[in-house]
Amino acid sequence: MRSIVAKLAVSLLIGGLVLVASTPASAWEVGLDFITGGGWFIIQNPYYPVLPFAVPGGRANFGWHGGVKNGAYWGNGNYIDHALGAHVHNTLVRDYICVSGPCPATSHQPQGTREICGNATVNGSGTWYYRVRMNDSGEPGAGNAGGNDKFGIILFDQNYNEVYLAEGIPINGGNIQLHRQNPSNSAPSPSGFCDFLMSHTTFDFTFD
Amino acid sequence: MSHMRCLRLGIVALIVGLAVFVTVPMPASAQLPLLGGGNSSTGTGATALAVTVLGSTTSFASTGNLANWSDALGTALDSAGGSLGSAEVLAATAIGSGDGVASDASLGDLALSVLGTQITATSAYATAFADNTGATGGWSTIDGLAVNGVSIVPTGAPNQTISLGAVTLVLNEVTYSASGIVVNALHITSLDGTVDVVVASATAGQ
Repeated sequence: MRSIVAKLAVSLLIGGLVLVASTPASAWEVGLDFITGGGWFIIQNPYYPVLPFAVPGGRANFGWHGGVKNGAYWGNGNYIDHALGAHVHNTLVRDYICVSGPCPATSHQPQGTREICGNATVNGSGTWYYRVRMNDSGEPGAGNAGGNDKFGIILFDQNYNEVYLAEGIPINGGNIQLHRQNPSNSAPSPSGFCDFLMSHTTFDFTFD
Repeated sequence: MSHMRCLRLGIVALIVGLAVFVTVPMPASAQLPLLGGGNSSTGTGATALAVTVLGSTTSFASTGNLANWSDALGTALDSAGGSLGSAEVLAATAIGSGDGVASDASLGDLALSVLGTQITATSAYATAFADNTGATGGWSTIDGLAVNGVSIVPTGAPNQTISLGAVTLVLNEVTYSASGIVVNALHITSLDGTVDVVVASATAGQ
């Protein structure tokens, strides 16, 4: 009997180790929902005065969406900085995390912030990495009626150096919509890519 | 090997197996089967830009219809161009939420020339939603709209109509039907019927 108990304890220990090994090191939870949106904003860039890419005061347009669907990361997106002439296009969604709000979103008309991370091209070429943060603060998303949705994007070069940041806090037009979880929102294996990119971030990029 | 020893090893193997079973992810389809709608299309989708000239329609950034109320579709396009003009940053999505559906479409930097009328806009966005009680809703916005360089201020009211002789503009065009709702941020038609342009269109329904 003592032997059985001892082996049970060892087995539970092994099971625990397997559990730890399979638990993501990520500090951010994968979002089991969707966020979508499109619109425009005047670039606000108070945190990044030294980078040549930063053009505060210029206009940016975006259309971006992300989530998880049937065990895979899901999404696509476009962003253009008119002053810079830079057009960013998603080529691969690699992570989708909850930043704030209910996670997953389960209520009707949920509000919260999600981040989508992945690969992109700029003006149709190269491999860049991006973080896109989107916030739904209710309807309408923008404008004189009191909309307060927010959008931000950070680009990294192939060496993971930050080369671009733009934020619309809030956006000036359009809307961002956090969608309630549906049965297709099954979790992919956590990639930790957003965390990895965040570890290279040296500035404040929060709008919870 | 004694009977008791075999039993003990069996228990150990069972516990380890259970631990692995619980912690190792399985294929998504096995984790959470789709619950709603089967394979019937919902009539919910979005299109960033649809241009019809002489009866021939070209759609840009169009999702098609959701397969069911647990589906999700999305598309994004850098730019769209044609004989009437161009647009950039086109995007469209359609999302099911089990007991409801929603769609949205957006684009930026619209620049069109329709029968000599220049129509430009900074951004357009439309969204529509419906649920399994039959309730529907939607709205749209268009910013920086100008016709021949003259700014047009949207009232926000549904179906704001601006007649310009050869061309008619409808802002925030909302159409209800038995099957759902269609919201267009901007609908441009020519009086002679040769041109029909829908900018940022979202549909939600059964």
